[in-house]
Amino acid sequence: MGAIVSHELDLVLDEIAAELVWPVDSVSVESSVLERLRIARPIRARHSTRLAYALIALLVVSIIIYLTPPARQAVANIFGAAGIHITIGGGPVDQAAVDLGLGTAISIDDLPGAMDFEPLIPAGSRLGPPDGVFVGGGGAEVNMAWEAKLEIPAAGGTGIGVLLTQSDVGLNGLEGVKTVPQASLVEAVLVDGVQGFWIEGAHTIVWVDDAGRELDETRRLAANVLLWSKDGVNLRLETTADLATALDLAESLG
Amino acid sequence: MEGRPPDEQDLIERSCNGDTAAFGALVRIHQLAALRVAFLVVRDREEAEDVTQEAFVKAYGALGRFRSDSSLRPWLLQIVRNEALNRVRGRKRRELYTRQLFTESVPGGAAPSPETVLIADSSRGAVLAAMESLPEKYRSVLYHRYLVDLSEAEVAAVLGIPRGTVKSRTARGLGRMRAILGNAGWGPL
Repeated sequence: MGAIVSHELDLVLDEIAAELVWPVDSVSVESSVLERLRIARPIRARHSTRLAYALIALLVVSIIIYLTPPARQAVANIFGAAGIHITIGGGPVDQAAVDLGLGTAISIDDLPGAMDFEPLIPAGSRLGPPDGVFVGGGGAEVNMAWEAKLEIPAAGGTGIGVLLTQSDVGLNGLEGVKTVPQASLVEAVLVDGVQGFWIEGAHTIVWVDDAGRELDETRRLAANVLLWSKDGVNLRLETTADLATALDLAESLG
Repeated sequence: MEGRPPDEQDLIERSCNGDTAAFGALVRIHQLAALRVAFLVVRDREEAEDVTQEAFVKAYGALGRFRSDSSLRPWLLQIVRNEALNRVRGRKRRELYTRQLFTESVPGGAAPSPETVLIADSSRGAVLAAMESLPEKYRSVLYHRYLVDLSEAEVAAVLGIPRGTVKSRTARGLGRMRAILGNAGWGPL
């Protein structure tokens, strides 16, 4: 016991690190990686992809500029059908905020003190800060939206990849969930040490609190949902991302 | 930690031009840290090896997008960690592997007495168990900072969090560990 009492903890950790024998230390992956690269296509030269995308974007913009208004609408319809979202003025998050009724835009810096409860602010997630923050539900909830990214596709054609909703209305904590109709997957998970649920495939979710009261939660994005409650705040995270990414964002809230 | 060896830039440029031997040299340089980062997530030797292979293959394909003014190691390790996190999707919380991770070997010449080994092993095992019991946001910072031996800046890049957050989570994580170890009777640290 005395072996660690006399040391500062960080020094003890340095000592432990020096003595660790990792099961993977004897592994070499070089030959396996090179073998896989032999059958893979060669990488493109630096900047060539970016340049090609820039040229294509310039070409598309030029075409749209020279089209008549009806033709522009037709082009927009075509690209829209192909999954490319074209908006005039405002980003996809702003447009989705209108379409989904997320509420009134607010700066994340103005959020503390603006609500009757203290919303949790994401800090340090891989997603970075939200692309839009909105006060909705008559001032009873905060919606934070992240634009779709390569690894997090847009949900339901909204241009949004992640939507986090926080409120303190109605229920006291999260004891369980019911889903209607039957979800394809409901998994109990720990979110930063508290009970939560990860739900895939359900359209409507019923949130049950510690008094047995129920609240219907209809998904806005038709995506996966992470439900949990923390510090008196009920949280619902909808995303096309996987559970690991959802937990990363959830655990960044403080 | 912040910079990179003088010839790494050359290896990167050659890799971007399709020189797989140059990329192999980069793999050799960084594979140990990559394997450790992967193992911390998947906790299985073979899967960590597979994750690391896959991550390096993806890194090769993405190398053209790597910013030449930044450090390669945290960029690579971030790809490794993301690949590992994708693998453990849907898994239940991981069991403790502190015993597998820790060896009772004691540095120095003479063989320690059995009692010394027991004390050293159990005390260090308690420290590792305390770290393992922390919430993920503290645990991941402390693991990468101390056990993988990354700098604060590298931990920030690998975990995708600000450097100040690494600093604060390190301090809070160590504080929680001290409390856990104190409650468990290991005395003040």
